[in-house]
Amino acid sequence: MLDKMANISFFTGKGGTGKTTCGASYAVRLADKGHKVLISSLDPAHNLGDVFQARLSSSPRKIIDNLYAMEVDMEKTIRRYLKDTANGLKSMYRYLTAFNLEGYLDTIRLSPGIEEYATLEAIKDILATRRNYGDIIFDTAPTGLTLKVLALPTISLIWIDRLIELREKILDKRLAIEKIQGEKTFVIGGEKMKLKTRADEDDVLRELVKYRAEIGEVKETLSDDSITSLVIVMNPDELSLCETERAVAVINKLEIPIKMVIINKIIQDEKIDRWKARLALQEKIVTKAKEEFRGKVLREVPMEDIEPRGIETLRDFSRYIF
Amino acid sequence: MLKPFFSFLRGILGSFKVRSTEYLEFELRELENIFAILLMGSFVGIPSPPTPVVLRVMPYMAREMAVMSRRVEMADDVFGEIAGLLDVG
Repeated sequence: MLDKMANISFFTGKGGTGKTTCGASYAVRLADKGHKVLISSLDPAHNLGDVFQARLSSSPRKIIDNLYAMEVDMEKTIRRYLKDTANGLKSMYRYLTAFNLEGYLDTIRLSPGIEEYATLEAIKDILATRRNYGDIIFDTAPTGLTLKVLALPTISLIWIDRLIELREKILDKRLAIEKIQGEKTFVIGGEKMKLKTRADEDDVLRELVKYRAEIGEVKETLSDDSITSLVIVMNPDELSLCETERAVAVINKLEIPIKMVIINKIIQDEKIDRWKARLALQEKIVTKAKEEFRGKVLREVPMEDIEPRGIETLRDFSRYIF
Repeated sequence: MLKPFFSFLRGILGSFKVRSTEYLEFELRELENIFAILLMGSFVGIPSPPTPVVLRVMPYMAREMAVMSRRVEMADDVFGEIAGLLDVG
C-alpha cells in the first residue's frame, strides 16, 4: 500500500513525537528499495544529522546508496533571499533617498514570521530539484510553524489576486487618461519615465502575475495527492491527540492530502505496575485515533529500548512504518 | 489672422481635456496611493500581504512611493484638494 505513496512527503507533528526518526527510517527503507531519495530537514532546531550520525549541511550529502540528506540553513536562506531583494531595490530606488532601504531590510530580517517565508523559499528551491530524485522527504518543524508555512501559498494567492485586481483598475484609469491626453510621463529624482498603461508593459503587474504562477505551482504541488502526502507523527497521549486533531482540521482546509498517521512510542511492557494507568490511557488514545483518522493509513510504533539512531537501527525501525 | 484663433481653440480644447480627466486623475492618484499603502502598510500597522509578495513588487514601485509621499505632504489639506477639484471657494 505504501509503495504507492506520493513522491513528496512531509513528516510533521508535535515537538518530540519522533518525526525525524520516522522520516529518516522511511527514507532509508525507500533508498534500500532502489528509490533515489533526498531527505531535508526544515526544522530550525535540526537533528536529522544526529539521527543519521552524520554531519549535514545545506547541500545534499550522500548517506548510503540512493540516500541524500541535508539540513536547510535558515539564516543563510534568509540572508540570500534578502540580498537578492536588496539588489533589486537599490538599483530602482537610488534616487529615493527619503526611504532608508538598508534600515527597512534590517527590520525585515528581524521581523516575526520571516522564518516561515524563508522555509517556503527553501521548499520551493528543493522542489525545483525534484527531477533529480524519485522521492523527497521533508522533516519539518513542530506543527505550529509547519502549518503556517503550508498555509502561506494559500494566503499569498488571496493577497496577490486582490493586488492584481487593484493594479488592473489603476492601468484602466491610466489608459482612459492617456486616450484623452496622450502619452504621459512622470519625473522622479530628475529621471523622466513613461507612465505604463498596458498590462504587458507594467512591471508591477508582470511581477505579480509571475509570482502568482510560482506560488500557484507550489500550492498545486502541495495539494496534488498523486505527488504530495503528509505524514503526521503523534504519541499515544491526550495532548498529542488534541494537537493532531486540530492540525488535521487545518490541513484539510488547506487541501493538503494526509496519507498516514503514525502513533509512535507506544509502551508495550505490561509488567510494570506503575504504568497500568498509562497503558489504559494509551489504549483509549489509540482507539480514539483509529476512529478519528479512519480512511488514513495508521501505524502503531512501539517505544524502542534504545534511541533509533544510525543506519542499521533506522533500517530495523522502518519495519513498523512499512 | 486665423493663427491666433486656432491657437485659442487649441487652448480651449486643451483646457477641456484637462478638466475632463481631473476626476479620473484624482481617482488614479488615490488608487496608486492605496496600492502603495497596502504594500507598505506594515510600517503603520495596517495588515499587509505576506512579506515575499511585498518584496517582489517593491523594486517596481518607484512611482507609487512618490505618489504616496506627495499624498502624505498634502494629508493635512485633503479638503483643500477636494475643494479645488470641485471648484469650490
